[in-house]
Amino acid sequence: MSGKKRRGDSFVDGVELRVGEGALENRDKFFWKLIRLLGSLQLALFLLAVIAVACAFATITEARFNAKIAQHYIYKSPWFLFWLSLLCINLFAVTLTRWPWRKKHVGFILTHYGIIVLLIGAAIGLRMGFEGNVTLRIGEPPTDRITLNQSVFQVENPQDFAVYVLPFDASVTRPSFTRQRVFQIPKANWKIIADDYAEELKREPVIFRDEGGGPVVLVRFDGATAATRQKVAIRMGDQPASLFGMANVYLAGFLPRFRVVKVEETIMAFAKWASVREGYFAGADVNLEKDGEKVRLIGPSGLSVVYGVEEVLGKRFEFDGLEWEVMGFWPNFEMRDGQPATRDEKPDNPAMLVRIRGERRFVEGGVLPQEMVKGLGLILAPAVGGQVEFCFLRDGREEKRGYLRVGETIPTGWNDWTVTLEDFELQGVISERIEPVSKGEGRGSGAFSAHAFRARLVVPRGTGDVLEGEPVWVESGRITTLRAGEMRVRVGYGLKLQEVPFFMRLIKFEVPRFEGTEQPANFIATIEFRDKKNNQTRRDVAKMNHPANWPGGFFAVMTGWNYKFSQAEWNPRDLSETTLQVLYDPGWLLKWIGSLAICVGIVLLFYWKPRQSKAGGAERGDSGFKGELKRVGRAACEEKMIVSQRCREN
Amino acid sequence: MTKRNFIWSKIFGRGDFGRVGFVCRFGFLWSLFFLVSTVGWGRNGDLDFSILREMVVQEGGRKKAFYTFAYEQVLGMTGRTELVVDGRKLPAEELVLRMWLGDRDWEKVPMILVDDVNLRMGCGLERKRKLYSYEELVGNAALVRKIGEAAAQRSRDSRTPLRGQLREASLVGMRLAEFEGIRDGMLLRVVPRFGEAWGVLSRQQPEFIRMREALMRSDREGFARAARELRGRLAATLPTEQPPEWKIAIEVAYLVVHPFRWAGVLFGGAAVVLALTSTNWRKQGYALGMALGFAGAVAMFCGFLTRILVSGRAPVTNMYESIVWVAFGTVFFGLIFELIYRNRYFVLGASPVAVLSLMVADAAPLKFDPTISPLVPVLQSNFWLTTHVLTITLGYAAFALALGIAHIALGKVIMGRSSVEILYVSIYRCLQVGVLLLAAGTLLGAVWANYSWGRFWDWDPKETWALIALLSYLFLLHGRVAGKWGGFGLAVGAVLCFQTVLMAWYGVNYVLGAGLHSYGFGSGGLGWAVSFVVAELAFVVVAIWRKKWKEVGADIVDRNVDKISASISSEVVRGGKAD
Repeated sequence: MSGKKRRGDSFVDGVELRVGEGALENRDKFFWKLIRLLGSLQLALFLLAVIAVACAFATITEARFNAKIAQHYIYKSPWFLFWLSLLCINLFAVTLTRWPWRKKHVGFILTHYGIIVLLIGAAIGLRMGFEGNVTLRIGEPPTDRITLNQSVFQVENPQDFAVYVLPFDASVTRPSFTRQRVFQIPKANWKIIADDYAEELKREPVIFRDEGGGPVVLVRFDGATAATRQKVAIRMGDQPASLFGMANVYLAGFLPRFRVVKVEETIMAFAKWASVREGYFAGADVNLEKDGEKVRLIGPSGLSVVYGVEEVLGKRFEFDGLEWEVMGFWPNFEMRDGQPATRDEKPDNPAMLVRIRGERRFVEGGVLPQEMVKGLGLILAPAVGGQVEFCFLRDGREEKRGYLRVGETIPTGWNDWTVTLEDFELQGVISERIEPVSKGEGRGSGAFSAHAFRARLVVPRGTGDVLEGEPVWVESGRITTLRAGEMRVRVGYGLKLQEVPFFMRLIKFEVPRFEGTEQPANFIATIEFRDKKNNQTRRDVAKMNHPANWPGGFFAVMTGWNYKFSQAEWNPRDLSETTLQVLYDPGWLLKWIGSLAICVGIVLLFYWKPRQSKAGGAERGDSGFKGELKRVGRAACEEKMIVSQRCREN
Repeated sequence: MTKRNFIWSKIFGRGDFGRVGFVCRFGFLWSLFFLVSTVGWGRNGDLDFSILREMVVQEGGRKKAFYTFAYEQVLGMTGRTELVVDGRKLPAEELVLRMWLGDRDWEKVPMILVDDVNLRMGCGLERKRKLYSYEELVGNAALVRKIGEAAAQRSRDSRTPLRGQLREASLVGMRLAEFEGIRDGMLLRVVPRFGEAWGVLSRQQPEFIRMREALMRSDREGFARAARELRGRLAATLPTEQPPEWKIAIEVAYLVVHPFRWAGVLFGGAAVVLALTSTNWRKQGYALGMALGFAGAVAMFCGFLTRILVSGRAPVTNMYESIVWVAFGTVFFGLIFELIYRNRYFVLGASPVAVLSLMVADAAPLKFDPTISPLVPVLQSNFWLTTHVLTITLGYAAFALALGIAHIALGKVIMGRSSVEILYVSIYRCLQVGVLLLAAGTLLGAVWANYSWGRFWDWDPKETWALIALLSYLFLLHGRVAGKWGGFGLAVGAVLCFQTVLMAWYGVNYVLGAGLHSYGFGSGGLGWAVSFVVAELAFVVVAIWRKKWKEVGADIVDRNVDKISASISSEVVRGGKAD
């Protein structure tokens, strides 16, 4: 072991790599000076540091904002690409400084060229490839459109109705009042100015005074626990508005009175005869079946339930808001000594005695919709002096009654919800307003996620001044009309669609689960592709870690001139739909070759030391060079190695 | 058959090299561990709760031993593996069994963890106390409201992770659900079903009733009989649906023995022995240290093998596993280098790093989840995943080894000792391996991303930070080639650059918390990580300061080597020109 031991116990290998530089002295001064400058280690160190710091900064940006912004401002920005190209030049130049190359340079050159090839592949992919999504549904007609993850702003020219497509991503450029973005509409000399951006909008009702309208109110509910608020606008006579299904709100002409009456009724029900009733009519009924085995109870609200007679005999229970007690049952009824009795056990004339107790609620002075007399409710009615009269209901029973002024807030008695009268018009209409959700504000149900920007149309007038339209929120995925006076422009904002040379159709989508859980273990989508040119179809399966390909085949897969489909999103509630990511990357092969070259290169660089060939030595005119260098290096270290040597001898 | 083989076969049975033989051998190693660790067992004098250990429970997407189930549940619910109730220590299995059988009012026992002090203060709980009873928590209106709020937010928007108190509240909510699940038996899916989710045991099951009664009477015999009958009955149901017995057995053994903990102890021993024998008893100390190191590596190997056999996948899919794997890699490289170079610094540098990593992994089971669970789809076992993650983490391990040796070197510089040169060379060797593996691993990652997501490189934070770590080490190596620094700079750089590894490895998941690699996400431990980084920086600063002021050690020599070789090379060049 001690003979050929530890070739590299000192750092000579690093120095060895640099000795080739000497050969440059012979060459054309200026050119080689430039090469040496571009290929200098100082520049390399600088670039490594700059790129590393930029990347670190980008990841922080991404965590702080989002991936799109990090990509736009750093990874895919011109200056970052500039540093990368400079790195390529540096890598290329440094290999030239080793000229003429020798065997020992193989690893060095392979590594450095590998990085260049990889970066070129990446550049090709960036320029010529694309990435997008396609959502496919089983049974839907085939599609040939892919949604790219590039946003565009489309403007329909009012003059010739041509549609102009401008690349614009509001989530990246984030227009604001200080950073306005101006779109010039060609030929028309009109402008569209974007001056705000929002990720979350809310659609809220508002009311306006309008001579032609009827009474309208706008109330706001705030739930502290749920951190939500909801505005409700109602017109008199409209169906009650529902508040998260928890309560109903209704605007009536005037408030009715609610009366509660205690009722008690005994019903002797017969299967064959009409029943005999006694007491205050509770609104309920008892139907006994002919065979005397089953009985149907009908509540005041129309609900009914069927019981076996045995089940309920002698029992007392609640049903439809009333208390029911089945006091007796006689299969073959007869009156004996003034008391009900049974002749025998044959069900010839079944009879049942039921007592019903409870309350009945009456609305006096008006008809209310069914929803209002059940569960929680709030009835409002216009009153004198710009006030609104209110009444809280719980199951048709009045809980609280009073008057509300505009701006006044009162507790509702439903958990910790409060209600505020925001506005009230005796003659008004209901409209809708879209605005961004401000930070810190609770998320109401009117809020929705959208990438939207605010834009207005600016049209110059003959007199030299301009006509500015109302700012409007342009939401992603919708067509919006911008107006300025009589002028109007239709605009659209959203993701760009790309046509591909084939049709796609989803044949099957399966989501196997991990045993005993709902956790998906895989996503398997079978897709059918049809070539537009020759109408040939091909099926492929996209699974986790296994994308589907089109056109497929060895050559296409190897070169990357191939569309790859991999699972991106799915809808747990609808398994007939899946969203696939589509990728087309023509720089793919170069990336692979580069990667392989880098790995092999590093191995050679670190662990392969070719034996100094005699020819090589002679060429240099100093055969003893390497040995001498090693000897000097070793001698300097020798002292320090005694310890380890001793150790090994042991 | 050679004599050695003969003995081998005597110990392990016939020379059958099939799977059975392998399992036998593996099982033998295990039983050795088992014997060691079960000495002094059976302190629960009255009742034997270990009978149901091997009962199979289906939970979390796989079938596991009841022992594992109890361990995981108790860990998740209480944040510890044993619970002290009325002054008596209850191991996980006993606690879960007692809760299941319902031998007392467990609702009143403080056992549910409320870890976050802000949440405790926000809900009017005590500042210091972490464990609360089910009744206390369910009766706490503020907490219940927060849990509801968290659930509401979840259902509104399931993608954005919860933050702050809401996140903690939802954790407490899950613990409460866990408690109910065990108490009502709904979590214990022990009754095999064919091709669907397993069922729960009926409370009217005769064995269950008898077990419960025996427990109430403290009837040792009766309890053992009923438990055995129950286990036998369940195991005999639907044999095709049952997992293999050996799998359950090694799983239990793994949890009982804690091989990684043993490995930590052995590595610690190796470090101490090697450090103490640096002057006297060198030969003996070296042999003993190496032996301890190898023993630890074998223990870790057994642990990994178990995890692989139980889960059927590579053991690097969460933070816990990757920390343990890096510890293993560090020692592995240390031992390999030691066999080549024999300078004792490799193992001396590797052992403390490994011990520290194992301690970190072991110390915070809630942050670094040690349970064996199935994979999220994107990590589904495949060749590229395995290679990519294993390679990158091995690269980290090599850098960790460099870090360990750099600490020795800088420590020596601070102490004013000489003979540091050999350490610098060792660091260089480690860095080479690390750079190779990290570069290969990162590129393999790109290959895998290409497979899995269809794209080669997308500047995902995890991959970007792996790249940054690689760039920083390349910076270090190129700077040395450029003559900007020598061996001492290499040592300093090995410490500094490791901080980028820490960021790529831990920081991206726990600090940045963004990107596609979200399956490994968690939170916590940030304070510790920051203090570690600060301590490292301070250490480096002290070393540089000592170096500047004293200029001792081998760095002068080192620099001279560079100077001499540089002058030689230029002379050679000039000479060549003259020719």
